Amino acid sequence: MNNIKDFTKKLLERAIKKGFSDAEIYISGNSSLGISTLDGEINKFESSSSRGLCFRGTYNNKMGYSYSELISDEAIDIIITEAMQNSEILEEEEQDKLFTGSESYPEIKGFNGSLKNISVDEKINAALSMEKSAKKFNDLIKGVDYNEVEYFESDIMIANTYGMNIEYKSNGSVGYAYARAVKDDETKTGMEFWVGTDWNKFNPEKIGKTASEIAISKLGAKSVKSGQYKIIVQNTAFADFISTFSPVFLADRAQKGLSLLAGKLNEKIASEIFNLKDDPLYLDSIRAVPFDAEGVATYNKSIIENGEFRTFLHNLKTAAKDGVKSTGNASKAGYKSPVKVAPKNLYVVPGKITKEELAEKVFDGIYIIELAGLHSGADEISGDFSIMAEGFLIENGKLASPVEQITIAGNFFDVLKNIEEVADNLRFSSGGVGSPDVYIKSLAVSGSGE
Amino acid sequence: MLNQELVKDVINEALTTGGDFAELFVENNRKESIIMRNGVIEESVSGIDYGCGLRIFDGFNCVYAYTNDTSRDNLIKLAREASKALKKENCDKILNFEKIIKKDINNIHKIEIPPFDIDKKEKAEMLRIAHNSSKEYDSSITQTVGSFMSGTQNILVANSDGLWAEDTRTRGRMMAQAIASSETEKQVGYLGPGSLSGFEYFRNFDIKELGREAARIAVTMLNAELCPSGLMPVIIDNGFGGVIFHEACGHSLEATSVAKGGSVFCDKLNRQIAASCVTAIDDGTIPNAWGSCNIDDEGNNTQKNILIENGILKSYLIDKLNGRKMGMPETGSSRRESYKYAPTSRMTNTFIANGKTPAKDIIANTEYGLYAAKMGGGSVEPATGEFNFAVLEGYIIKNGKIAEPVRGATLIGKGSEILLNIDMVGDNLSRAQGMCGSISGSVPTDVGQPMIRVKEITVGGRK
Repeated sequence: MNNIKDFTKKLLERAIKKGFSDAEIYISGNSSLGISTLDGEINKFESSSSRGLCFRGTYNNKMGYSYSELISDEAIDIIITEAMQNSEILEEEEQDKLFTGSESYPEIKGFNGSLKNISVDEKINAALSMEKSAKKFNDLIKGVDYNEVEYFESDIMIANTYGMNIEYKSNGSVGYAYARAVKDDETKTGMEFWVGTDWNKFNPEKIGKTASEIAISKLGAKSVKSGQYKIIVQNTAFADFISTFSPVFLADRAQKGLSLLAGKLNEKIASEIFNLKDDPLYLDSIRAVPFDAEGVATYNKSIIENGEFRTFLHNLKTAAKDGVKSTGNASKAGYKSPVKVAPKNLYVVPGKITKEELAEKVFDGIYIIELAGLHSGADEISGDFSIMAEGFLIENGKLASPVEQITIAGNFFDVLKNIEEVADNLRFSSGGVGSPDVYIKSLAVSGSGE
Repeated sequence: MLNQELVKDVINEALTTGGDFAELFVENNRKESIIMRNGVIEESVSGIDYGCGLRIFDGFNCVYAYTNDTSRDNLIKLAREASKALKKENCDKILNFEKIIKKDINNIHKIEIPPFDIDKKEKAEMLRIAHNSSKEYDSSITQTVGSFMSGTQNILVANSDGLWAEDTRTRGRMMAQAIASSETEKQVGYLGPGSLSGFEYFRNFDIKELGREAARIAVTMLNAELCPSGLMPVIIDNGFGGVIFHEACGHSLEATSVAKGGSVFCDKLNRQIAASCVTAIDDGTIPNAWGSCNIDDEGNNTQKNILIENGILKSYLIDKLNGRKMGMPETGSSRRESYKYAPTSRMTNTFIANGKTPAKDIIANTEYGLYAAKMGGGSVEPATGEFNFAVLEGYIIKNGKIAEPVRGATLIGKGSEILLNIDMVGDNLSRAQGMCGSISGSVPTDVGQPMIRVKEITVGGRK
């Protein structure tokens, strides 16, 4: 870390000497250890450590960016020259500006020392017992194709010529199993995962068993007759759905005319019982951070409150344009990427009733557990979607036979208005967005059933 | 990139605990990307990816480690820690990496103008031409997004069999997206041609036409009715239409899913898996094609693999590790996004070969159905072959003629079933470019086919 401090100093000084009026360096480091097992043996063992830097600075009033994974003196000239050349072709009037720093930052602890101390053997044993538990669940489980336990650490540092110098370190662990059930000519898969920072909350046997349970429960699935159905979307599936359309809440998209929510602040855009929040300090999610990619302190905020649209998510540039304060949602897709806007811990606020009670309310309909092809079957601009889905029939208020080979279709903005009720089972999907089970009044379902 | 002495020491260190094969992959990848939105250059980012990945095999098991600190101390430490993961207690055999054979590479992809020699202003200008041409096409085009990217990747693959292979891969791609809007609707059209070439590829390219075509798709779809849903015959046109074969069949032929018994095409070699009019090929040797390479990421020469011949399964796509499990030789198919991923079997340029039916006859012989002129993206679950795809530009066929455009269609089905249900294969093969994501990251691939007809597919629409 000491030579990184020296390098940072050298790079910032050289940039100023070369004609930048200010400059910033953003360094992110990641390391991880992943262990997979197959048939009771370790079949993959992967360890990594990498570090990359993003440089940016103001050159002739334009913000030039460049990046490098070579963090050594020989890279300094390339980094500065590329940033200059990149700045020269930029044409936007409003340019990113470097931030001098927030007055204070929330104190959160994203790094769990005891998680770091979990030995390699403990991780191996967890992976083995997860696989074993998945396999022994049922004879129809013919394989656990992916079965992995992973530990990861990351750190971020931002330093600039205005004296900002902040860093944050976090860690976490993931365990997931992906079981395959085969009966006659039919194959079905089930996936279950755990993610968190408290190893004691990881129950590998349960994860393995649940993955197999899901796979088995899907066997014998049939399509349904096309028509309008009452729908419950399971928590993680609805989280993925929200995640797909989350760009509509971003100020940069709205300012560019790419969000149909532009101009709708404080209007009713969703059913009254629907609340959506972004809370970067929510510690149950491994994505918690005290500052955003521009170094602005983060905080909890409502995006939709009782159906009304409260705020777009902003970084410094979009906030200046709208005459508001940054919501601390500056984001980088990776250290290479320029600063954009993104939610940090987006989640649908849970309700009070259980998922069983929710199914009773629906009485007859379809319970969707998986949505496939969200990246292609959904148009985030128009809100239109037509997505392949899997799940179960809901008959007499209970989950019944499995359903496959159907698509659900509609429009995101209509779905928001058609939400009847949400359950109490908030869960974050692997994509980092959270939701409880959600009951949608009516959706068009196509299938080949009679 | 790294000297032979160091590479040798790292590989030897990696084998001290009884591994039977070790391989070091090193890369230095200069990349740039420029993005224009609505005629304004908003982003221009460039830099260096640099690092190395070490693999150690012990029979069917694999240890992988990567880092971008390539100092001697760190690499030896990395190799030592990785080798310990094998947990071999008695190790009687230690391989020694003594003989290095420098691989002679026959470069079949000529690069004339290195993209980094060209001023960024010229690249920005190309985006402007596409933008202007989209805007001029129709007043309903309200937004455009254009992007240019290039990369020059230098790689070294060295392994304990004595292989030492170095290569350079230069690629460039340009994307044009046009958005047409009415008061209530927005529709998108896009194209993204690319090549394993230098900047000469763009100098010989009709950029105006690219912008116009993206706009045409968006405007056509803006004025389209909602697509009817249900089971119906579907005609999928050439070029990016091949994405269905790529997703629904190609992935299931990769050793990644075949070796662990997770593919519907396991144990089907030399058996009929497709209609007899279907021949499918994966060819990584097509000069300057987007998905081509001289050598794969294990240092093997790429090759032309006939996957399906007249409906009969002839070959899988196999990398070294899965080849061991399957008892089959590699097919030059091992790929990775970067040093951050262990390589595995992937597609290169994958396409259905030309058939005999003239494309126009396929349409003329279809009473009613959906004509998917341009496909969008999709995904597939390799174990079951269940797929879903969005139709970017679709039309209804009535009485053997292309009738009104329809929007919002999704095709769903199972790969193994659709292959058997193809009943006509046209004669107008073309390929299109995409990025394919899988466990070894995102790699450039070509998809392709001539026009084909599938007897029936479930079409998900909103009507």
